[in-house]
Amino acid sequence: MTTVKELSPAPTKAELNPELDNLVGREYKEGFVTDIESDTFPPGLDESVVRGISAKKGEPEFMLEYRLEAFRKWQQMEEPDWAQVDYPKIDFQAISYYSAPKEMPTLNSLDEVDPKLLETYEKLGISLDEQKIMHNVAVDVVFDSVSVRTTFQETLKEAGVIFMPISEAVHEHPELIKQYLGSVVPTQDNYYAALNAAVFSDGSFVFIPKGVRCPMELSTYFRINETNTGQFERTLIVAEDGAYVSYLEGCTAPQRDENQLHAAVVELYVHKDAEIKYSTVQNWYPGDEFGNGGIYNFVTKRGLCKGENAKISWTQVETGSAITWKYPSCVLEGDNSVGEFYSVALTHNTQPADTGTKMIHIGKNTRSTIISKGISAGQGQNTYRGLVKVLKGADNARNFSQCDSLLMGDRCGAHTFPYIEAKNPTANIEHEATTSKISDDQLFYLRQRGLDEESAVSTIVNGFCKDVFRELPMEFAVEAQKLLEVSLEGAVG
Amino acid sequence: MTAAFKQTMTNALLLPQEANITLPGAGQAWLDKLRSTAAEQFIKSGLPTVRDEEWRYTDIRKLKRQQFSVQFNSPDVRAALNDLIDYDVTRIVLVNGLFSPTNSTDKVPAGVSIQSLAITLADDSLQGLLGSTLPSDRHAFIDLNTAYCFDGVVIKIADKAVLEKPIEIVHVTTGADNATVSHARNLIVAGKLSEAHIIERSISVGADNAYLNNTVTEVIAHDGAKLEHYKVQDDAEHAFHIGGVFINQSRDTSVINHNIAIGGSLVRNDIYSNLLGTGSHGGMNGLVLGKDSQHVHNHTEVAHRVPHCTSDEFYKTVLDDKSRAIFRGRIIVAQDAQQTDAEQRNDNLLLSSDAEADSKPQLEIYADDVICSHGATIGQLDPKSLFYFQSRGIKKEDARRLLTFAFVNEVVDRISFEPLRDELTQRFLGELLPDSIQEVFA
Repeated sequence: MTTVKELSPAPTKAELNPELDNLVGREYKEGFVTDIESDTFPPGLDESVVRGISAKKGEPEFMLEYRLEAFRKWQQMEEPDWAQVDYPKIDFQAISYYSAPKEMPTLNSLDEVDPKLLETYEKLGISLDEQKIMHNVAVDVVFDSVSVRTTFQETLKEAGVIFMPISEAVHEHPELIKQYLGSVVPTQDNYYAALNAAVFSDGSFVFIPKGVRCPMELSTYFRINETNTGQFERTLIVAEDGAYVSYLEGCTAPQRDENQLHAAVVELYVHKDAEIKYSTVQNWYPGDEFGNGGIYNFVTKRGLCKGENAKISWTQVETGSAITWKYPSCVLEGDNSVGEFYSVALTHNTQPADTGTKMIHIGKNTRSTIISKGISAGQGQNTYRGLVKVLKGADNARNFSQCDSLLMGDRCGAHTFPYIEAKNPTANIEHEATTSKISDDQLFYLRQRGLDEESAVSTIVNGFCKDVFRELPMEFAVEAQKLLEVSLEGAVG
Repeated sequence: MTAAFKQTMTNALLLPQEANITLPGAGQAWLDKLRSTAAEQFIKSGLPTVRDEEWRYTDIRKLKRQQFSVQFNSPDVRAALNDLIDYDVTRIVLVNGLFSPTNSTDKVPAGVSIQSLAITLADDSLQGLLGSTLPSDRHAFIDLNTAYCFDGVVIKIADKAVLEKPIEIVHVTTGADNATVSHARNLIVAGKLSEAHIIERSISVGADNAYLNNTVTEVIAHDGAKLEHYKVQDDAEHAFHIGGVFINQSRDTSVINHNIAIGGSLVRNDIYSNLLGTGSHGGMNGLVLGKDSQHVHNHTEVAHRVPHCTSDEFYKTVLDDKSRAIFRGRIIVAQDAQQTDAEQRNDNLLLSSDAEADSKPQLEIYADDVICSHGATIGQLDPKSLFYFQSRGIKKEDARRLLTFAFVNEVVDRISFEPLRDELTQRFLGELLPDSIQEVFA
């Protein structure tokens, strides 16, 4: 494990996203356009498109059936409108649902990258090598990413861990995909999940066999044959009895994508005594300060604690996206299983975020913890929406929820909508929520000790988020702190 | 139009037009408009179903299966009223939703005017007041009540009047051959710097059939007014109770609503506190004691529209047998309503494995200089406390009852009108505690 870390000089587990170049700005985007027309479906969605996607990927029959079933259900569903977010209606027929992996233009040096972006990298502490990789700048011999990743692959192989793009897994491990795909998030689960199931482009598949503790933290960054996973990403992680894995998603570097709509699905399936720890840092392009552009992020994430003593822990730091609609959930079916949700959501400018979790207690002695920290600045609207449900058979279920909101500025908003349902008299549920601003006393104290206002605020904000940050893998936590600082720039005063 | 009614409505509840009822004050443009707008809204929204977010936990199909008719008789119920605890109040009695002078106190204290709504509607004195407190997200039953505006009581308290005796409004439902509905509508206007306690009680006398009590009480508190409003809902166990209390508060007012839900099989209360003037305080205390298959849904909202207001909400629920209670409490802090201090608590105690508690606390905050918090718990009695009692020779069952009583009493303790507080304490003591322990308290 340690060797692995040493090999990776950069703190960021950046997802190699070939679309990153778009972040740089439109003014020179034209120069990079490669001929992709021939392999992109025209906008629109009907059955033939779904069949087409499946055919392009050469999928086996069961996958096509799965997609078609999802598509038919999707057609009968309505777009949900209950979230505390506001956005122009999405025209689902105006989107192209398949485009082949694109070649990323090669740059000669970082000088060709938008200086503003470089400045952000600098503040986030992203190393030069890392930056070069992200922009597909020719990399020198010292940092050969391919060999690093090959080493990782070998280590994983030795441990028996399967980690590959889901499109490959469909061919190589069809029995596992058949067994687990859609077992936690059924195709008809919700509008966006159904859409994802019908048209998903690619994503990750992780399988940790019985008794194996995954020798390293997994991240999409280490996946070989990295291709553009597109806007409908699908992730499936299975931990067999007694297995453990920590999975990292996203990166702190700002990401821009021409696809405005993102509807990903993540499924976690945890057997007896196993544990999955899933950490996310989401920093998609949030649009400009007036709310133009930006990514719409409609994600369905759910984990099933199937066996006894299973455990799922979600940790998320959400700072990006023009719209965030995301409720990572835990279904605690096995007796004594544990679900955790730790979240920091920051909204700035005109961003709205509607996020939270669901904890469904089914088994006996199941426990769940929810810690949600919302920070609203500018005109940002931050909503926590959560459900804690204790079913009749869930004797001695225990939940503790804490949702705190911090307000910065008199034009932002913080909202809390928890749902608590208990059908068992031995359930013990506690929910607390507070909303406040940074007190003048706190600020004065820090300033009186020589901190300028901005550092004082970021110190307080970091303290506010501490309970969540300490759940993140260490280097991720350091980045997340910096990310908040950068995101809050200009929000003070 | 009639065809439209038939399409949207079940047979359960009829609009006055459908039931061919002549309404008091009809012919006045403002009143006709108020009623017809409400009727249109009622048709448009239709009776709620579990598909409506604010009714997802409350299924009213049981109610829809009934066919209610409006009851127009107002018998003498004085004998039954004698059973009520006798304390010194100015008592107004509404029988089947109709103001009953026979049953009511004839003496009205100085500084207050008490009138039947039906009579008051003869002129335009309530124009601009009636319906002024209703929220825009109201449900169909409230619109149905407005479409009637048939009878009820209008209480106007003069400026600076401090009423020593509380005013008690008793809603009585009497027996009938079929299922009945009453749409009592009350309006309370508290003048500047006035002070009063107002108790609303609902009971039944020989009402063996199903009935629906669909009441709306509007409260308008002018600058500096202080009101305590108690709602003691003690309907028959087979009754439906759908009640709305809508409060508008001007500057420096304090209005505290106490909502004690004991009776009824299906109960829904909508209580809204609108803080419209700075320096005001809104209080909400609630208690639900559910047993058998009772279903009690409390839907509350405190809206801080202006700066420098405080609010405090405290709801407790005890559920036994197959009962179910829903608490929905929303706190809204509007943009620029700075220096708001809002607190909310909802604690639920489940005594039976078939009981269910659902809690939906909500904070919606658009200002930054605020202190807002809510807390919700669902659980059972503390095993350590039970053990403590047992170790001192008190049987487990008795200890459970004692602790439950203590839990309930925290809400009762907040009732500032002493005779009512004592009445409820004694009542819950009787219901919850075994005789051996009652003696200790006696």
